[in-house]
Parts: sequence; C-alpha cells; structure tokens
Amino acid sequence: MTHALNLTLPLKQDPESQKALAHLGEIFAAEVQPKIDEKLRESRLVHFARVVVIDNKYIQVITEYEGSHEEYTEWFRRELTPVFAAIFSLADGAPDVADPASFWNYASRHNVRSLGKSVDGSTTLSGEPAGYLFSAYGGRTVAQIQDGLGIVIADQDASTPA
Amino acid sequence: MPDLARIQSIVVARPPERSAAILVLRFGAVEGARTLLGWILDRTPAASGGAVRGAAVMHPSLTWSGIAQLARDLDGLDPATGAEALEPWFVAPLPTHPVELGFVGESAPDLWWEGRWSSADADMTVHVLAADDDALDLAVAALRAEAERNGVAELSLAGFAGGALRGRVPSDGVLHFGYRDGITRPAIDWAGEGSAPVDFREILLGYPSEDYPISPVAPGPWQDFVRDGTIGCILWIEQHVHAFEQFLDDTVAAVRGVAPEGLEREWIASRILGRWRNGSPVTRWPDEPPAAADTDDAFGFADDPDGARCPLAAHIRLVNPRDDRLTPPLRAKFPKGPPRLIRRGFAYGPPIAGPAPDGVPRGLVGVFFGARLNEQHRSVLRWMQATTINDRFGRAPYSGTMQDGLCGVRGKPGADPRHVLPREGGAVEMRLRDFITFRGALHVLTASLPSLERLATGR
Repeated sequence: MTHALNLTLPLKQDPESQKALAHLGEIFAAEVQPKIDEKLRESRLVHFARVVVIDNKYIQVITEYEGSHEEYTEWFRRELTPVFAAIFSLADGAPDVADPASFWNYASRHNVRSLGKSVDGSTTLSGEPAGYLFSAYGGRTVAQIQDGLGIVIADQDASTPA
Repeated sequence: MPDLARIQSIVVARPPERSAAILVLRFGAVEGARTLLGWILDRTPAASGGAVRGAAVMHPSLTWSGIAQLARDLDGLDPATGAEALEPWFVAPLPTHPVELGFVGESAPDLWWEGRWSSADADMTVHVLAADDDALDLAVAALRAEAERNGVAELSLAGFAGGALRGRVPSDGVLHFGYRDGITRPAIDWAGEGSAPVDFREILLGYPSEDYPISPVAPGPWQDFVRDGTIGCILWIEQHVHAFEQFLDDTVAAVRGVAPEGLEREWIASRILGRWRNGSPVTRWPDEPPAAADTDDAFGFADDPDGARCPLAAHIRLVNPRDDRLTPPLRAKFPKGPPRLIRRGFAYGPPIAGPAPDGVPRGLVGVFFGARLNEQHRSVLRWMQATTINDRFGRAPYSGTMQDGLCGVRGKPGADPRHVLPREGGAVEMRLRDFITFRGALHVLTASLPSLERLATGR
C-alpha cells in the first residue's frame, strides 16, 4: 500500500536562518538532490519525493512511498541524515537528527494529514486512518512497476551482509 | 562497559529453574509499590552470580506506566522528559499499527488477556522461576501476599490454573508443535571485548553508538536510568497444535512425488519451520533428518537464495535471516546484521494426547529481550506477517505479502496464504492456516538492579 508523507515544518524567521534557507535553495540541485536520488533509487520503496518551501514560512518534504512507516522511517533517517539535518536546522523546534525517537516523534507531529479518507487502509505515522491518496496503478509497488517496465536497479552493495 | 553485577541474571544466562510464572501487577499507592519492589529485589539475582540462589527467584520488569509512577519524585527523572527520550513504542500503552504486527482478528488487542484487562492497565510484571511446581506455588503465594499487603492488585487470568501465566521450560527443549527449540542462542559479547560475535548493544540499553542508536541517545538522567536494562517483550501465544497436525495430514497429497515417500508429513513440517522436528536444519539435511539431531547452529541461507532447500518464508529464516541478503533499506538499518533477541519463555498446557481436538489451550509465553523495541522486536513481528525483507519475495512464485509458515496471522488483510517451495518443473504450493493466536502482549523494561533500587527507595 502506498503512503503519503506531507512533512510540514515551520521555518525559523531570524535573518541567519532565512539566509541559510536561501543557501539551501542555491545548492539543492547540485549537492542535495544527488544524495536523495541515490538513496531513494536503491530503496525501491519511494514513488516520488520533493522538497517545497512555502513563502519562506514552511518547508515541506513530500513523498509517496510504500511499506511500514515504523519499518522505514528509521531507514530514511539513517540514509538521509545530512539532508534532514540541513532541513531540520532551519525549522522551529526540530530535534537532533541522530536521535531516532526524537526524529519519529517530530515527524509524526508534523506530518500533515491529507484531506479525505484513504481507500486502501493506509494510516498516518501515529496509526490513525490516512487521508485520500490517488493512485493511477492500483497501489502497485515500485518494484512491481519497475520490473514490469524492465527497469533494473543495480544493487550498489554486492557484498554479503555480516 | 556493562557491569554484570548491575544486570538481572535472567538477561545474561538461561535460568536453571524449569517452573515459571509471570504475574502482572497494577499499582495502588506509590509507597506500597515501592515496598513491594524492594521485597522482590531481595529475591532477584544479578548476572554476576555470587549470592546463593534460593528455591525460587523473581525478576521484576516495569511498563512505562509503572516507571512513570515510581520515577515521579526522583531527581532528574521527570516522566515528561522520559516520555520524549525513550522509544515512543515503549511509552505507548498499546501497539501502534497493530495489524502490521499480526495483532488482528482473534489476535487483536481488544481481545487480549481474555478481555479481562488491557495491556495499558499493567504497571509491573514479575517473572518467578523455581526448581519445581511446589516451590513455584510457595513463591507465587508469598509474592501475592506481599502485593496484597502493599495495595498492589494482580491482573489475573481465568484460563490458567492459579490465575497467572504459568508453565514449564521443557527439559528436552521440545515445544508443543513437536520441534526441538532453543538451539539458536545469540552469543553476546557482554564484556565488549570482542569475545563473542553479537554486540551487547543488541540487548542492553544505555550505550548508544552510531550502529546502535538506542534511545535515549542523548546523555542524561534517563540514559543513566535505563543503562544495563533491556526491553522485554512478553507474548502470550496460543498454539493450535491439532490444527497444525491436521494441516500436515491434509497437505501430504500436495507434496507426493516431491517429498521422500513415507516421510511426507515430516518433510512438510520441516519446510514450515526450516528445521526437522529433531532440530536439524533443512539447509544441511534437505532430504531427511539425521538419526542424531544436528544442533550445529553454524549454517546460513546465502547459498540457497531461492529457497530450494529452506523456503524463504520458513519460520527460522524470517525471524533470524542470518546471512540472507536483505533489501538495501534493511541492510542500511542493520549494519551489524539482522536483529537478534534473547529468549526466556516457557510452554504452557499439556501435550496433545491424540489427533482429535481436545479444546485444551496450550502454547507458549514468549519472553524476548532486546535493546530496541521497534528495530528488533517489532521488525521480527512485522517480517513474520509480511515477507518484505528480501527482494526475492517480489518475484514469482513468491510475493511480498506472504507470511511466516508457522506464525503468520492469516486474517491480516491482503495476506498471501501460500507457502511456496520452488522446484524445477513448477513450485509446490501449500495453503497455510492459522497455527497460532496472540492472546496478549506487553512491553516492559527489565531494568538494572541499581535503577530498580532507586525506584524502590524513592531516592
């Protein structure tokens, strides 16, 4: 089942933070985007992802992904620590990204529920029924879609885990 | 580094006692709870040994509710701060996302504990162990009298003689489904000196590292409080042994010509668990079990990636994937290998007497120790209920919604009830049934002895 994440964080309004926000915008394509691209691609879990700034007052991380929130939020945190650290440093009340419990609590509280009602049983991070999310392909997984299209994602780590 | 004198012995070493009970308690006045805890601690052995072990021992553990009540007046242990610092899954009184964990249908939380009480009502558990049933009776009676004297209520269960979770650790290790259990035991490097393969951080709280970001990550009073404790997950699991045996009978026809003639039932049973009933792993003994049980646990699955010998959804392959190739996200989450847990449970109910269902409840009270509730305990529960751990499940004849052959809850929405054994000329498929029901779950902190002493004395 596909979930929507609408992480919406209030931005700090002091001049220094606003300057850092502008800097993030400037370096995003060259420095941030490739890191997100690499990790999300190899995960085969995430359909779409983007980062949006609204009137310099809010920053949003919006994704459509599948699998258990509780299984994969920690993966997001571990694999994209520098990205979340950069974003969280601009936001009011954001926790230490190195702390999984704080990360989960903060993400749960700032994941804005979509309007409407999920039609496939999707839930929010806190376990409440999720809002509406349209899917044009009946909730098929990223792996199913990629396999169907013949898209092969090379596994970067060919070694055998410990 | 950990100090064994601070750790409850049950965490580090398998207790020698075979008779066991777990009492679930609810506090009244805080002073009474403190007095009771102090009384219990006089009967709680440390992992360092030393003290003479009495006829019975008691191991106390606390839910977040119990901790919050006893910590309220202690310096630096503000419950509001603790609720933010500890794992949210520990602080929550009931499981979030219960369906993912298999807590659905007959296994749903609102049916737990015979419907008599809720996991949210519990403040403390006491795991009582004794050499025999008579000694256990005496110890439980003494504990109950002391609890009553201190205004602590017991949350009882009608289905157990004596009103509490109670049973025995079988001396031959054979549990109700007929499998020899307890062969796999993680070798923990308790001293942190590289003397064993598994880092003590898999089990103990209070030593977070980059590989083990254990809550609380930030140094402070709550990290000090949980240090040398572990998170215990108590699972009451009813086992439907007659249904399992009937399934074996009914499935023989599906494997005829694939399994060795005359060995079909046992061959199916071995593919459900991943071991023959005498404990020998099917990866090493694919055709028949050896006459003498092979208990050498040094085997893996990496050389059987498609599950030709051990099905991918066999119980032991999901709960402990060993060297199986996990998905990239899971490899990133578990840089030191798949999660490990220490098991200290016991069986309850009589063995089956024959093939006819007898209506007698039997099963397992599982007690699992690990440092991270979500990443360890709950990962294993999730993997049993939806097989997404391995990219191979995404391709035919498998699917990512298959379940543990033995412990899947088939009523989970969207669950694929097939158990698949790939082979040339077409996969063999079995249609699984419910072999277990979750009857209750609690998560507790099996705290260090000094931290429990603090709670008992209020200082």
